[in-house]
Amino acid sequence: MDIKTILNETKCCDLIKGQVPITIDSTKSVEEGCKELVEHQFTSAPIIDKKTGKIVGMLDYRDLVAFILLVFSKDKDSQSHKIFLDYDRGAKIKYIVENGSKLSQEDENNKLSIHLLADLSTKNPTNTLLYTSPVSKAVEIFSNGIRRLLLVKEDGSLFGILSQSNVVKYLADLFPIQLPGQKNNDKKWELGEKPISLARPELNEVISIDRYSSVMDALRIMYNSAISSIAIVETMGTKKHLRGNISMTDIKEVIKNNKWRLLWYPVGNFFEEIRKMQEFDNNGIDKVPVYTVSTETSVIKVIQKLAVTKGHRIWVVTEGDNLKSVYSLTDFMKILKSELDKTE
Amino acid sequence: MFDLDKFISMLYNRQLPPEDSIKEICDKAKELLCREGNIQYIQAPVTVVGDVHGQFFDVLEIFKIGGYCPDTNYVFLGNLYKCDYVDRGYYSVETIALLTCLKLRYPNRIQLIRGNHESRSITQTYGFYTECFRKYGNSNVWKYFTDMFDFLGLGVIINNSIFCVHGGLSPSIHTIDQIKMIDRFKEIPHEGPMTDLVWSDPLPNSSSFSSDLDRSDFLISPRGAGYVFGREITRKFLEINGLGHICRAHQLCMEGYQILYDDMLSTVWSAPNYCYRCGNKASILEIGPNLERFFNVFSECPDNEREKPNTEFDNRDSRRIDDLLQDATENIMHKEMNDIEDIGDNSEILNKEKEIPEYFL
Repeated sequence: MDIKTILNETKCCDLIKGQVPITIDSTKSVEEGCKELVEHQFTSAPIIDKKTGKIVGMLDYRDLVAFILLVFSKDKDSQSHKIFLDYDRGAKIKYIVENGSKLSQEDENNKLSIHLLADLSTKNPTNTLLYTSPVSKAVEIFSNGIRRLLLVKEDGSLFGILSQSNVVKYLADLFPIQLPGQKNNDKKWELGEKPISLARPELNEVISIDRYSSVMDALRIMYNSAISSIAIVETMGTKKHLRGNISMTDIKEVIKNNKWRLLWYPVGNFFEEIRKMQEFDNNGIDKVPVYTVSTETSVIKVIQKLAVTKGHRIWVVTEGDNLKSVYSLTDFMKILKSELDKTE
Repeated sequence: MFDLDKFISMLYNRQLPPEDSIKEICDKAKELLCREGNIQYIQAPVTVVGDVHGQFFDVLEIFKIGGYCPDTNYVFLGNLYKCDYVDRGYYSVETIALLTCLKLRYPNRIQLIRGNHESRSITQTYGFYTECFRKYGNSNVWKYFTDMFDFLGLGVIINNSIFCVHGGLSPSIHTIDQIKMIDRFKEIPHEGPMTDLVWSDPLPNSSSFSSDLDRSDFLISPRGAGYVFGREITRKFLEINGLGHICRAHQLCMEGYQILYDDMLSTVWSAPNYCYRCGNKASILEIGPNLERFFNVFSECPDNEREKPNTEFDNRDSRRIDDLLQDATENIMHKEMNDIEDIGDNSEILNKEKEIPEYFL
């Protein structure tokens, strides 16, 4: 069975059997909404108005980052101005900003309500697909950078949420564990067995930040470059040594207990603090500081590692920690799409 | 003057030798370890110690209950240090320095094998680098220790029967001879047999994994390195190599130890109340002359026997940083939110950060 057939014949709903879709109540506070995202380890979730049952929008960490950048940023960069030009969003932001302090006082327990932040960043518009569509259709949408799709039934109600991670996990489980020097795949996927450096020959320059820059700088770069994670590096000569990574989801550490001052911490130290805290949450089980693969690792193995670590990206290194490129779930979707587009 | 006994007694009192003494200690340790193989063969009786993670006072507790070296033979299964939280103090350097000196003084009485933390990348993330910098003012001591880590062995076999390793098994390794062939004198790579030996875990015994326990293949570890293996793989490894038991560390055990797979494998964890938060017990595995195994369980050493950091420098410095950052934030939060132009314009306070030489270097 080849990869094209697998993708065309498997239905989206089969990938998320038994899922109870996580939604966020539109009246929840920013902090509570954030906590729910974190608990379920999602980067976005649909916001549902409890009274009408309607999908109000999607909440994404990028929305929270947009909010923070706007409130705390010194720069008058063009990104912020564009938001003001879009009337709806501009009006929303203006409302939050003008009434922020009042809102937080009036709300019970001083919280900002989450529905104000829905779709703020324009980076995650609500995407839907019929739940019985083939996975290949989802792959097409995912290859454009959309992370999650709302699968809807014929009557428009929510069946479940399909993410890039669901597709990756499904495919990873189809192949046996790839061991060095062994070819043991009964499902043939020629491209899958090639080293990752050959599967994606155009290695884009990795966007990285020096470990002594601030968390605020990292957020700004991520937001302006439309990426959700940035590599923390130490530059030695021409080589960039990978020391860690910071993602938009790490904002939760800032929002928890209102630790806004963390925004000015050096990003390398911030990363270390987060890793330590994650270890406690994980019963003392430590992990590697950053998930990496080498340039020679096969595509299937990269996918299996992504699936097990539940990551959205993995860094490609040579000679230990010399950063070469990054491989995200979207990149993998692009590879699948190119496989689908191939004519026999 | 290189006086090993003096260093050892200083370290028992938590006093650090000077930087050039550390260099000499590490150089001599490298010379000694260089002559030891990837696998060391030793005889019982011996006490096996799991992760200690720089909990210095708990290491002293281990010596109190298990007996001091050289009266008791020891195998330390790695992960000797960790950087701790400011309020309880950082003692990773002291822990490693003490164990290294003991190794130099009694090379046949104490074995140190490498854990996943004895690696440059982990030391930088988990703060050992910062601790060395604080205590010595530069990164030389960090370099001496991490260079020395490259020489630590990978495993120990007791009475040709009990195989001790930090993490676990590897899909690339079927025989002990294959371990002996590894070139270990380098930084732990991101993948490969050496990585697997220090990062792998056994599958837990719980019912959710019962179908996987008897698989003959490994699973990729969610830790991001190494693999996860089950009962069948363990049984096969022991059979092929004529061994009776695997003893390893690497995973926190609330009871201090865990025995798996009908006693084919056990985990020993020697850091009680890990990072002063987990509330777990710890244990050391005492192996008698006839290979009788006894897990001596203990709890953390009482608070009155534990001292705060003896350098005022540490506490004073972190308070200054906290105060300055607190000022910056309070100024921002108290302004009206719609006053965007002024927000973030606390440059004079934020610039003060640049006067601080220590923590953020």
